[in-house]
Amino acid sequence: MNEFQKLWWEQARSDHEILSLLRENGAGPCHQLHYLQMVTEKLAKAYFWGAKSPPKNKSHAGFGQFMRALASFQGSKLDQLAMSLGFKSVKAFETWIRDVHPLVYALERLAPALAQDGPNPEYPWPHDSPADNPVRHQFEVWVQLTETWQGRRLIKAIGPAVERFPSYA
Amino acid sequence: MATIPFDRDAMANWYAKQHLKTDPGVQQIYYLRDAPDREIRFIEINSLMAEMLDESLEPLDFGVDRGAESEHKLFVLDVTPSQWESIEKEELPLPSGWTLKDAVVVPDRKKAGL
Repeated sequence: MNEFQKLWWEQARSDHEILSLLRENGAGPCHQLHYLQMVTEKLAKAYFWGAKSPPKNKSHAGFGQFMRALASFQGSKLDQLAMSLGFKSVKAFETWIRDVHPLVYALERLAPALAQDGPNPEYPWPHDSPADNPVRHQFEVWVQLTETWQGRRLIKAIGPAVERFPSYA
Repeated sequence: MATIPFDRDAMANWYAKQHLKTDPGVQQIYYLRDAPDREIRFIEINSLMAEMLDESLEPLDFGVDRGAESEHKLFVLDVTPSQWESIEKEELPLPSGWTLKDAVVVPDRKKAGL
């Protein structure tokens, strides 16, 4: 892990601690989604800072790309990652990554910059004539995260993925 | 302002119905009633779930309505059908403090129209 990665990783860890507090305290979905989106974005950026060229400045995209990068690991590195996230086999891990992809993408698109003036966990929308806000809105992505095993596994996997980042960075 | 008291059984039924509707892999949901008053504990048997390490059998908890009269926690333990078999045979332990005593299947699929 290089110094750039370390800076992003530390921030992702700190955000994850806040996310855990929000979940334990039953904070509203918009607040939990906000932090979940931030943790995953920063974790992805920490990973991609491992390459020689930095990630696009201020881009909120990357979590989906990060998940695909994890699935492309080979050999023992992939075995270890799958096991550290609780999967019994690489095949099970790969299947989950494929199945959870729509949810990963939806989470990525929650960032206000990518939400196309629509539902996002931070600001009322649309910008020019607000008609809804995050605290009132029922987020479909939240339903999928909390009411399906793939979603719950994603929430659970974020913790070890953050903590064990140095082992696969 | 009128407040709605927390009805754990009704809330458990509502959650279970939602989960059955949303996740096509859920075969059955066991509601573990031998639990603290403000906790809803589910074991969800899911046929589409990837095989997970038994050590990773930890429920995910969600705090709900913190500070409100309806404040409670929802715990969900996802298991595969084979893990459920092992749990029933007591070959696989439940999370600490969990028991199948007084466990019931929720909701009744026919009554719920599922």
